Amino acid sequence: MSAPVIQDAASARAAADAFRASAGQIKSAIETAVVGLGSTLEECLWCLLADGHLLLEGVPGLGKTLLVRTISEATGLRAGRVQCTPDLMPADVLGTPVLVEDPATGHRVRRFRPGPVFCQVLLVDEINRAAPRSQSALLEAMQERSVSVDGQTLPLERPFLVLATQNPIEQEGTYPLPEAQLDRFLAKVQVPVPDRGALNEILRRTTLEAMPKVPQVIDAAGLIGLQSLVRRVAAAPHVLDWAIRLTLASHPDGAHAAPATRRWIRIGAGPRAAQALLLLAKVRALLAGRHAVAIDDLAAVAPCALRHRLQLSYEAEADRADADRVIAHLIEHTPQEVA
Amino acid sequence: MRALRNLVRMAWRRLQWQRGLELVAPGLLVASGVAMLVLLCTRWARIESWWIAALAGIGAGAALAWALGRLRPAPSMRGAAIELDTRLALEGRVASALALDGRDDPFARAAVEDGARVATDPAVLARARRAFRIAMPPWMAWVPVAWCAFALLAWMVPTRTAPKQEQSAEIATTTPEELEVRAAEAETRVQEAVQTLAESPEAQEQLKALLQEFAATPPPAAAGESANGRDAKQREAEALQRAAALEQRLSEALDSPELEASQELQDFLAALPDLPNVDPGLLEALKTGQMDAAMQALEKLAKDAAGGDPKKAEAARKSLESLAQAIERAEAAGSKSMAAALEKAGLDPKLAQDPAAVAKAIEEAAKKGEISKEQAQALQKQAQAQQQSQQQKKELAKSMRECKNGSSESARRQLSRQQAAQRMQATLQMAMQQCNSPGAAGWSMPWTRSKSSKSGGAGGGKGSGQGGGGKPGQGGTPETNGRTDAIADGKLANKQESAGDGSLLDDAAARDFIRAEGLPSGTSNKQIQAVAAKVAAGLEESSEEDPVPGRLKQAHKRYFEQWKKRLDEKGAGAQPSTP
Repeated sequence: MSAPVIQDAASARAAADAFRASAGQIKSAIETAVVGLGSTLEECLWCLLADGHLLLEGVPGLGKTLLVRTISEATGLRAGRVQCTPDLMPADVLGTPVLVEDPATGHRVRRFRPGPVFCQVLLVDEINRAAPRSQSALLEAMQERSVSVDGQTLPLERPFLVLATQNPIEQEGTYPLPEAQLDRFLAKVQVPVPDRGALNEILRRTTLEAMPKVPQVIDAAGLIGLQSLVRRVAAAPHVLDWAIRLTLASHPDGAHAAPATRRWIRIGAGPRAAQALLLLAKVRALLAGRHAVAIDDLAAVAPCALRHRLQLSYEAEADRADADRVIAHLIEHTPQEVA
Repeated sequence: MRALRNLVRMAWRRLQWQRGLELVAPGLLVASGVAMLVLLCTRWARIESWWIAALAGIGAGAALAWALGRLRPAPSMRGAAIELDTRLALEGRVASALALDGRDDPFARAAVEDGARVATDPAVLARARRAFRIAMPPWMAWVPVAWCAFALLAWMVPTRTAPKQEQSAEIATTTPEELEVRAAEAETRVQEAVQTLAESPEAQEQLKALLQEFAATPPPAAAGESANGRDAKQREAEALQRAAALEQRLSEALDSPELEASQELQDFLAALPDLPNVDPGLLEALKTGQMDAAMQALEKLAKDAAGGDPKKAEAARKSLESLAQAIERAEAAGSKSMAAALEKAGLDPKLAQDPAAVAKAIEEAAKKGEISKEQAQALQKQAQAQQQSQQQKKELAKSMRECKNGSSESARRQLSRQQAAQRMQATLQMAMQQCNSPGAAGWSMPWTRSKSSKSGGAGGGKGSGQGGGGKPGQGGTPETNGRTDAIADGKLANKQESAGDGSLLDDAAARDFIRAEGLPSGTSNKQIQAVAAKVAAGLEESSEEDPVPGRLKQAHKRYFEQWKKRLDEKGAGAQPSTP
């Protein structure tokens, strides 16, 4: 599926309808293998369609790896995987030049052996177990969609999506992600523990002789077309202004700081947060059949776009205020209309 | 797009109305509250006008509404569109369409078309009308209640009046007009009592009782001051003025030339030498001022002179002639007090024998500035009294000679007049004394105290007051005589007693001056307030009238007693006739 040509309102409407249909197909394909994620799957889909990287946080055994693999299967994207450990080296992620003997000439030559990053959907499992050096090896790949190795810059194939997982419980032998790297994830999604019905369905599906096969409903080009369509969605000035004010409200020293911001937030969200807000909101608006972003869209995507970008203070922990509660407070104290 | 704008405009108008009501409601409530408060204050301050309270309330309400309006600005059209999206759950379609209108972008145009389609949906229109229905603020319901309360207050709460007098000597509220009328009536009665004082012993008793009542009445400060301090003070000041006027009239009456002349004559008679030929009883009666006895003795002598017994007649004539000559001799010697006064003023004491020369000398001395104006007036007054006294002496001597012919009528008239003057003098002195020192109360009229304190030096005189315990020769200005000095002495004694009790009249810290016409300055307010309270209470008491006259009470009693009697006679079933 190539990017549609949109020239008038009718074609825009048709493209939006097609977008919604494709997204629905992707979601249905994923749900053939993944059960019980609910809104988490929706948020993953937002991130996928917004061409952003996703950080999945959840205890082990919730299907995070399965979710990543299913996404790659449903979209036909080439998948890669990195299982992070403390002794993981950057070369293990990016690849390394090796000396190989040319059978034709018998000479030894340097040849670059690409690492797992050279894929379209990269699963970085338990990313907080990798050493900071290895974590930072992903920075360029995530932001620039390219890898610089041995004096060469190698572009990554589009679309490129990093889906990282981390365990929030185990703290021993882990290396929390630095703010710079966290900021490169478009969204952070918390994978919930499945409820009784979902668990029942998981058991039913995963204990059969054959696992259900995930159909491919879209290819890389189609996915790129959807991602480019997202960026054409309109946003009214007051909506953009609200996104900006919400972002600025997270800064404890800013003029727009919400009442509890100074107490609960140590470091607020940066410009990437506002970009993430708007992109995710555009996806949500399209999925809702609208052609312009609403403030409701921004408010709905705010938790997944902001929760990993806020550095909470000790007082927030003392007040048992997690990131989602702080974000709800920011939304509540950001008026829609400013006189 | 027009439909979309109309929809947003409708929402905007209704938001404006709703905002106006929400600003007006608290304003009206506050306005009502302020109006009620101001109404109560104005009624308390005896201001009848309700519109002052209404205007104050309107002002306060408008100020509050303005302040709230500043805090809560009016919504804009975009704000109304956002509110429309929120209330109708339109997910920003209306606000985005309104904002994106005119953009050359396919998705923006699609969004505008979405918004326009929503605006033309009748269901959305109906929902918008319901969602933006203008509703009364919750507290608007209290506004009519507050208005009714204000109207009730304006109708029911009376303007505060002065404390009315109660039967148990407590000062209750009454109107200033009533107080004025009562005070005037009381003053009239006091004047009548003073005028008839000399003629009627009952009147003397009446004045005495009245003054005692003044003293016995507790100060009204306990009741009147607490209920209405300003009125009590006003009443005190008015009563003080009236009492001062009464005291002034008493003092003037005592200092009148007639009474001065009477006293001069009495002093003259008391100084008569022992005359061997004169009937001792008559001479003693004249010397001691027992005019009844003197008249009886004169009548007896006149009868003897006209009787058939030549021996008795001769003795009587001789006795009367001797008395007449003694009176003429003494009269020719002139007035010693007048001579002393002239000498004190630096004038020739020999002039005392000639009243006309005295008057002329006083006038010239006053013109030259040798004596003060007050001294001149006092000397003139004393000279006038001396002239009258000389006339009386001549007439007395003449009437003695007429008695030789058996006619005692002239002498009797002379002595009766002297007796009446003595009684009047005694009664006035008693009244003054009652005013100044009524028994154990130990208070004195401040104006007389001031007068006595200002007087001093020479003057001399002889006190003969009844109640004041006058002492001869104590102080006195030239215009005062011994009687007022005696009263002043009594007040000075009272002053000393007060000082001994700790209620010092000269308490510098408590010294304050009151505004009262005719009152001297420098009087302790503390003392004046105590006196004024007693006098005011006394005036109130004296002017009080029973609303139901006694005769009417008796008539009612008799009327219903007859009814009862007839009912008892005819039994319960019978219809009695009107008695």
